[in-house]
Amino acid sequence: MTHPTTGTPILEAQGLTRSFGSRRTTTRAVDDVSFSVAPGAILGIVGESGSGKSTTLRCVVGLERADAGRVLFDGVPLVGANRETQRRFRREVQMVFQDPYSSLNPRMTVEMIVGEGLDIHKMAESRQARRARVVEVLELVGLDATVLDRYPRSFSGGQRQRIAIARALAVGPRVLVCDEPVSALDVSVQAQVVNLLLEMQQQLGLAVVFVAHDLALVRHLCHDVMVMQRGVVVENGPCADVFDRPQHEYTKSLLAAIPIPDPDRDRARRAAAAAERRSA
Amino acid sequence: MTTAAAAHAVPRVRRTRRRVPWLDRIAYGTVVVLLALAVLGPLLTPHDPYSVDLAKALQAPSGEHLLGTDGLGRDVLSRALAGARASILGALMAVAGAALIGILVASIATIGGRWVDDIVMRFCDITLSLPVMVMALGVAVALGPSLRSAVIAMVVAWWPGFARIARAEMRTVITSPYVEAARVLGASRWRLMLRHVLPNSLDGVYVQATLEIGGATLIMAGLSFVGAGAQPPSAEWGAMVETGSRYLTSAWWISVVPGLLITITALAFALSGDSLRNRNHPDATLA
Repeated sequence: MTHPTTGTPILEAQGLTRSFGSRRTTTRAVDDVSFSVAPGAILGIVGESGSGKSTTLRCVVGLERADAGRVLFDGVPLVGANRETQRRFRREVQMVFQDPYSSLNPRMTVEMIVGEGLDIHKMAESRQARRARVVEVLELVGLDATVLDRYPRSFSGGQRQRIAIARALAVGPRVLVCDEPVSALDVSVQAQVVNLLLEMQQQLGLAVVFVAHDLALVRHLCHDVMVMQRGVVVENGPCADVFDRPQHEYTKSLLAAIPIPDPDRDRARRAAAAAERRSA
Repeated sequence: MTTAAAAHAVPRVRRTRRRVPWLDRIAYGTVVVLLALAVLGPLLTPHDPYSVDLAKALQAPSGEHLLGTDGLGRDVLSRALAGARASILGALMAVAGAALIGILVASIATIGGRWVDDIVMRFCDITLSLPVMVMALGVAVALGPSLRSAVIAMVVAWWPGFARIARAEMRTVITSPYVEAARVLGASRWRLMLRHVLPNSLDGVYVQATLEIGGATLIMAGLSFVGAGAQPPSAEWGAMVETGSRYLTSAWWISVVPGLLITITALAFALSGDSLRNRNHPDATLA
C-alpha cells in the first residue's frame, strides 16, 4: 500500500478535549487528542469501548462541541472561519454512521435520502439532474435506479449501509469519516462494505478517518493508526510500525487479543507470551 | 437453473394484519357514524329544532315525535341531530387547535435551546397543574359565554398536554443518527425540524388527540351545562341536558337523549384512541 503523506493535511485536529458529567464527576472522554489526515490517506482510530474514539469523531464533524482544541480544514481553523469555508466543510467532510438501521430516516425514500445533500448545497439544477446524480452514486455503491422509491425498512443492513455511503458520497466529499461502519452488520456482509469503502476511497481519492475496534480490519485498511485508551492517544504512527513494533503496553495487549485463525501459530504465540511473563 | 428454482422456493411474503377486536370495530364504526352525524345531522331533522309550540310541550315519545318534545314543545330528536354539529365539531376543533399549538410550542422548545425549552416547559407544567375543567371554565366565562369561547377555552387549557407529549418525542428523535446525518450534511434547523423531526415524532400526538376527543366532548358538554358554552336557544347536547334537568322526573327523555349521545361519543372516541395506541405499538410496522 503506498503511503500518501505528502502535501498539507486536509483535516487536522489539535488538542481536542471533551468532558462529560457534572462539576463534581467529570470524565474526560477525549483528552488532548491531535491528529492529521493527508488527502487520500486512511487513518484508523482504535481502542476499546469508551476510549473516546467516537467522541473524537463527533467533535471533528461538529456533532459534539469540543471543550478545547480546534479542527482545521485545509489548513484553516473552522472556528471563526467564514461562511464559505464552513459550507465547504459541510460538503466536503461527510460521515458514515455505525448503525444503518437508525441512520436513515424511515419516512424518506432512498431518492430523498441520497438527494438531500444535493438540495442542501443546491448542487442540482433540476429534478432530472438531481435524480441522475442520485442514480449515479447509487450505482457507484452497487445499487441501481430500481431502489429510488423504496423506503429504508425494505433493505437489509448491508444495503442500508450502502445507501448511507451513497448519501455521504452524493455531495462529492474529500474526507469520509466512518464511525465503526461495519460493526453493526452481519459478519458475512462486513467484508463487502469494507471493500466498497476501500474501492470508493481509491476511486475518488478520499481521505478517510476510520474508527474501529477490529484491529485486523484496521491493519488491512489503514495507512496510519492511532491507538486511544481512556480518551488519550497512547500511540500513533504508520500502520506497519505500530502493529509490528508496538511501543505501548496497551497496544501490545490489544494486539495480543487479535484471534489468529491458525491453531498452531496461536498456541505458539500463547506459549511465547507465557514465557515472557515468567521471565518478567 | 438453480437460481430460478430457488426463487420459486421462496415463500411469498404476505402482509400480516393483526385482527381488530370486535369492541374496537364497534368503536371505529360509531366514530364514523358520529362524524357523519356532525356533518349531516342538521339536514336530517324531521322537525324544525327551534320552532316553539307550547301546546305540544313535554310530550312523551310518540309516532310524530320519536323522542318526545321538550319544555317548549321542540322536537328532541331534531334538536339532538342538530346539536351533533356543535357538540362533536366543537370538541374536534378544540382538540385539533390544542394539538396544533402544542406541536408548535414543542417545536420551538426543541430547537430553541436549553433556556427556551426550560421556560416553555415550566409554563406547561404550571398550566397542567390546574384541572382542565376549572381552567376552561375560567377562560370561557372571561371571554363571555358562547360556543366559540368554550372552544377557545378548551384549546387554552389543553395545549400543554400535547406540547409535553410532542416535545418528549421530538427530543428523542432529534438525537437519532438520521438527524445527525442531516446535520453533518449541513441541514438548517428548519430543514431538520420539517423533514426529519416532525414527521417522525407525531404518532404519539395523533393517538393522544383521538383519545382526548372523548374527554373534550365531555368538557364541552360540561361547559354548556353550567352555562359557559353554547347558550340556551341553540341546540347543543350539554345545554340540552341542562334544560331538561328541570323535568327529569316528569319528562326524562329531554335530558337522557342528549346525555346518552354525549356518553356514546366520549366512549367511542376514547376506545378508538385506545385501540389506535395499541396498534401503534413500536413493534408494529408503519404503513
